[in-house]
Amino acid sequence: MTSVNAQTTLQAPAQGRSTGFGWFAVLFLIAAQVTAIVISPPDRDMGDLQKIMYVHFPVALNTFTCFFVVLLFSVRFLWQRREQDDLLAASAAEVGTIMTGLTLALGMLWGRPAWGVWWVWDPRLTSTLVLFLIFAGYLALREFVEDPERRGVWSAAVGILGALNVPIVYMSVRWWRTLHQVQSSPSTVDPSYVIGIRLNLTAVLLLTIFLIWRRYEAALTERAAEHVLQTAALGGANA
Amino acid sequence: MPENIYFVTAAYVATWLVIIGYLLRLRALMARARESLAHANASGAAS
Repeated sequence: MTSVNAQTTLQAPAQGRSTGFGWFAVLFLIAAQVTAIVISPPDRDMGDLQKIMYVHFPVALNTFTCFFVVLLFSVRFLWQRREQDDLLAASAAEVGTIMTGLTLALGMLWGRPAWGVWWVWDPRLTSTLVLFLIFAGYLALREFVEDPERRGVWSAAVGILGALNVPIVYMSVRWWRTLHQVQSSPSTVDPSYVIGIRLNLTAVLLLTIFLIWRRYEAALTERAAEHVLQTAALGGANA
Repeated sequence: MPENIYFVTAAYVATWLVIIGYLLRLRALMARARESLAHANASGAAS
């Protein structure tokens, strides 16, 4: 069995590399939200409720970005057994889980006034809840397994399984047409809303990249500290 | 539907609470990790 390849390569990241990018992402998101709210007129049917779409849709779509990163780096971990890949996948999973929870909460805030209910067992809502629960399980699993190799392999397996649920979530509105609307596109949305949606999609993408990067830096620093202690202990034992 | 403004406000407040809450968690995690690393380096150098 191949062992985790981390002993000689794990290094703590340089301090503060991501901070500037983080500030840019947060300020960009504020600017995007203000712009979208100010320039878009109330919707003919839904009125101001339409403005929830500037947070709900970008957050929902970027959960897919997170779980794509999980898929990519979980597969690479199983292939190359680099611990950094496992840490990056776990960082993306944590951010993705939080964003999925937020997507569900925002969807409920939309559903109550638009549909008259906070929750309905619609295929889109249900498959998103399943996605959330799979990755909540992924994060719980990591807390219970101490051995880095076993933790990495088991996490990668759950991460790949969870990420395979993403196409089901995406296609659920087409396969089982119930309450949740099908995907919109610039051709089906009034042009006055498109710029706001694009700006917020970009802003949430930048914020997502920053959050994953920052979480990865913290995980890497923590593991680097553990490696220093292990190396010192091994050196002491060999002396 | 003027009551919709409460749902819109709640959506934006919830979004920013999550963002700020997670940023604070990341800051605490990073500070703890750096402290652990500094401690480990000091221990490693001492041995």
